[in-house]
Amino acid sequence: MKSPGFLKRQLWLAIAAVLIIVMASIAATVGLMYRAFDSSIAPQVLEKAKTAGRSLSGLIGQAAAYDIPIDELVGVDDLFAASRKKHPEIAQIELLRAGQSTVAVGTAVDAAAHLTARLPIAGYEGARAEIAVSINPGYVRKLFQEMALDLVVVAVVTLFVSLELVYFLAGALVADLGTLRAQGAAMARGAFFPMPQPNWLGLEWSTALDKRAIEISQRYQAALASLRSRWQDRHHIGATSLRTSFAALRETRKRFSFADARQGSRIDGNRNAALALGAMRAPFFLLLLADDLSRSFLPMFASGLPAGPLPLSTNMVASLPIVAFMLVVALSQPLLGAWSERIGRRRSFIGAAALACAAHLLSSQSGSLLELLVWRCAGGGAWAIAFVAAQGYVLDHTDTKTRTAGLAAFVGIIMVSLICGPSIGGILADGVGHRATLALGGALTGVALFLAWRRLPLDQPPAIVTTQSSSPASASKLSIAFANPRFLMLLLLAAVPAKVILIAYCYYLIPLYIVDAGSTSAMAGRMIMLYSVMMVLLVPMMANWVAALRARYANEPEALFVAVGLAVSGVAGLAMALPFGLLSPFIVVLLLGIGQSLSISPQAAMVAEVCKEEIRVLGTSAVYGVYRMVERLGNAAGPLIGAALLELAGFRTAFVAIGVGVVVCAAVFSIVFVFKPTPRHVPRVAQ
Amino acid sequence: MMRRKFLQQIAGSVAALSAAVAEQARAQDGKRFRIYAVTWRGKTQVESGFEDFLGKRGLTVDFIWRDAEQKVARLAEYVREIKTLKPDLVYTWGTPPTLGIAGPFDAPDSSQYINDIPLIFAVVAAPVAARIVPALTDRRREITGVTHVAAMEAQLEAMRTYRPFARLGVLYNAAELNSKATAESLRRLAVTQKFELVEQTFTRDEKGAATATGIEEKVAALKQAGAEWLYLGPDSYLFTQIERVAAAALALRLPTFSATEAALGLRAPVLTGLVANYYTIGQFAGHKAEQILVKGIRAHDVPIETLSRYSFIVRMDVAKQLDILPPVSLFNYAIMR
Repeated sequence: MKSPGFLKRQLWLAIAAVLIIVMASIAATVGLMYRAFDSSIAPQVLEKAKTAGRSLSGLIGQAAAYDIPIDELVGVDDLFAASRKKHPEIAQIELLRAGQSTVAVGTAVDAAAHLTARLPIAGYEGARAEIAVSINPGYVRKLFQEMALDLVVVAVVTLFVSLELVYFLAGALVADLGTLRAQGAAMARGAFFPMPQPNWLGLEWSTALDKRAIEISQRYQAALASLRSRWQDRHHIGATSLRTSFAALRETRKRFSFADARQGSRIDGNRNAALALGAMRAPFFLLLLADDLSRSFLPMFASGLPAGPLPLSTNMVASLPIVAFMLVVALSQPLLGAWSERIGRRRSFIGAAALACAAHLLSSQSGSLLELLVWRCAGGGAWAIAFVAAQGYVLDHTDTKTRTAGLAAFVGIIMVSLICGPSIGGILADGVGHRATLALGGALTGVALFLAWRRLPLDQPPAIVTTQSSSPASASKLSIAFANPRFLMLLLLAAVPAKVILIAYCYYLIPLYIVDAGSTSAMAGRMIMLYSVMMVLLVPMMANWVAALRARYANEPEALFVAVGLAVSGVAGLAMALPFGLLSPFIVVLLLGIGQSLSISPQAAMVAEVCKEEIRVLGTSAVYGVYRMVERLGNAAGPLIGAALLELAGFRTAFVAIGVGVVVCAAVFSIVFVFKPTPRHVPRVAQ
Repeated sequence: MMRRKFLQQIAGSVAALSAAVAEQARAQDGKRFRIYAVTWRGKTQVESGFEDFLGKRGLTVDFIWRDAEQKVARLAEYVREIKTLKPDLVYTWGTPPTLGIAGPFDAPDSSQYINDIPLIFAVVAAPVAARIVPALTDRRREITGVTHVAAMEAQLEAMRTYRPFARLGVLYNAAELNSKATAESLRRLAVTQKFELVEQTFTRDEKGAATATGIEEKVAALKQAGAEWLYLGPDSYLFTQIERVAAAALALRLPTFSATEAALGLRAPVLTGLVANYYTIGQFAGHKAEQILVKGIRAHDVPIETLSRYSFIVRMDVAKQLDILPPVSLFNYAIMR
């Protein structure tokens, strides 16, 4: 019998093989498409330009019916200019007489024949009048670039989604294989009693084994019973032969066992970190993905809706759906923990999926801002419930050894969704529209609902549990936590500014700015994806770095990391002052990613350090509950602050002002925490 | 397959049922309606549209046609006749007949007018300015109808599309309420849209009525003052003099723009206009009549409306005589005559 490590190795090999095949096929598709695109795009664009030229020539031809000489036509240049404005692919439109240009609008970048189409004007054949339309090779190149970027996004998303699929399929498979292995191994050790059985793979085989094991065990019991009855009648029969039989039986029992002597060791098969989320993984991922789909275009969608009687500016309107969502998430989560535990993970998750499904579908149909806000609040509630249910599921199904891995998988899936959702959502929004993309989110949550209903294990009646994880951040706890000025400063100078700048930039200002600068929702999605990819890559790296520094210098580098991270985040905003066009938001996202990845984990670690006393009194989860809630209120405040600044002073100033504000916070923070170490801190180092 | 057949059967039976209901309705409404119709200068395309619409809807209507031949005095006779004949509906063409039959809403002696029989007007440019109703949304009177002039902003925009201008000339009859209202709205737009308005009014006799004296001089004065267009509003008196006015403008190479279709269909050399199609106006008035007669809706619950579409008409023969050709883009949406 092979060891469990063997199975795990096989799984990773299989995953690696699948990923290599998927990536190779994507690369091949991209390459082939690119080549096909290359050879067919220019003629297609020219064909489109020809259509525009034909309608111009038809229009001018009408004048011939009234015997107007071609030289006396009025407003030809205006007509050409209007047409060129409507068709960005056209570089130049000319009216030719006998090959000579009489009217020309725009300038041809490249006079190559394959980029120009000439169309005779019916009715003016006598004057040998023609319309010449030239297309802009730069426009064709731009189309190329857009397409290539989209393909990169699709490739990355496909990679992550196929990884999710592998987990989804292999999760059940590997669990079944593990159970079979345990059963086989138990039998090999001579254990003949009923064992946990797989759900699908090898179920028949396992049942047959189980039947045999029970038969053997029954035969053993029967043999034992008959031997006992004979022992009672031993004076009738010779005792010697019985003694031999008993000796043989004892020998058998040494080698085999016929009853489950292990106690409480039924939890098995949760050792694989990637599979810790188990049946929760796929539905939770779909639910998150559905929500992330709209990240890159929600502000634009909202600003297009009638605000009704509310006296709000367009920018404010654009920010409100995000604010509503974040506010509901921030305020509902402290209350949801206990509730989710009481009614059960399965039931609360199914409820959340149903609510999210309705919220997405109704959002896609909303005809006014108020409607959208209501549905986004419902969506926020659903998101918060699902989040707590999934987190609780991990906590319920892991022990102290596997919990860290389980929570890492939980955070990982949130990041994966944040990589895939906004980018694919942006492409979809440009292709099929905002409403259809929102409706697609509804469909995804529908699938999540189905999977949760079919696959999530039934809720156990609530045991003694009531751990601290479920204690809500009650007012008294809040006040105790806020009585610590250093905690308050950590919250107000670091936690809240970090979230304000993140949400204001990534979810609000950048999507609006990019569309304002004439680009697309797909571009906005790519920016958010870039941020998420950086998080996935950098956060573990930074955490390791902090740990290494801590080990080497035996001091606590967290405060420095938070201060530097915040400062980098703030400096990111200043990049918008540079006149780089679309490159500026790219630099913003890049710096923001570095800054946030520097500060995120050290900042959370600092809470434990700053609030040692409070944690002793209230417990870790209560203090972290307060921390998370205040942090999430920063999420909600971000778009509001962004909208107010945008309204007052425009994009550039809004970016710079928030950035400067965060740099100031970082400076004050470092004065308080980096240069004046805490009095509690000093003796600790001295120890 | 079965499902499709089933659906077809349902569709078939629904169609049959609705046909039966319609038939029944027709039989019920088999009664004849009487409409008393007053025109100002004889029957126009508006009346054809009105009659055709009601005919197509299956209404049996006996029309009592009266033409005032532009004589206000006749309208009082018609009021008396309407009071004795008691028709189901009164139809009036234009502002003077409508005012003559229905009177202003604030008339001191309302007994001289028709108040108890629903009235539908057509080709009234400004029912509020003419005091037929206090406001378009006022539901006091049993009057509804179809106005026929495009929004002034749209007319100015059409003029600019043809040929941009900085100075606009207008010639109108200051004795007509709606013409004064038109001039007033032009003055307002001249301020907001930053152009100069040059005005001339028809000479009036001692009774205050407009006369044709010195029309050519007035047009010349407008041209002299730098007008680049001559605007021809929905003015009843102007319409009687349209040929002289347009000919004078043509002689001076001053392009003319009309607010009404009638001015573009005559021998008068008017260049262009953004106008409502008379036949369509008649059909729309017919629709309102059907609502009152068949559906039993009170006239004050039927909105006073205008058409949603106007025609941009250009007379190419005039354009060539003026040597002011329309820009090529106009061939896209203007009707060239």
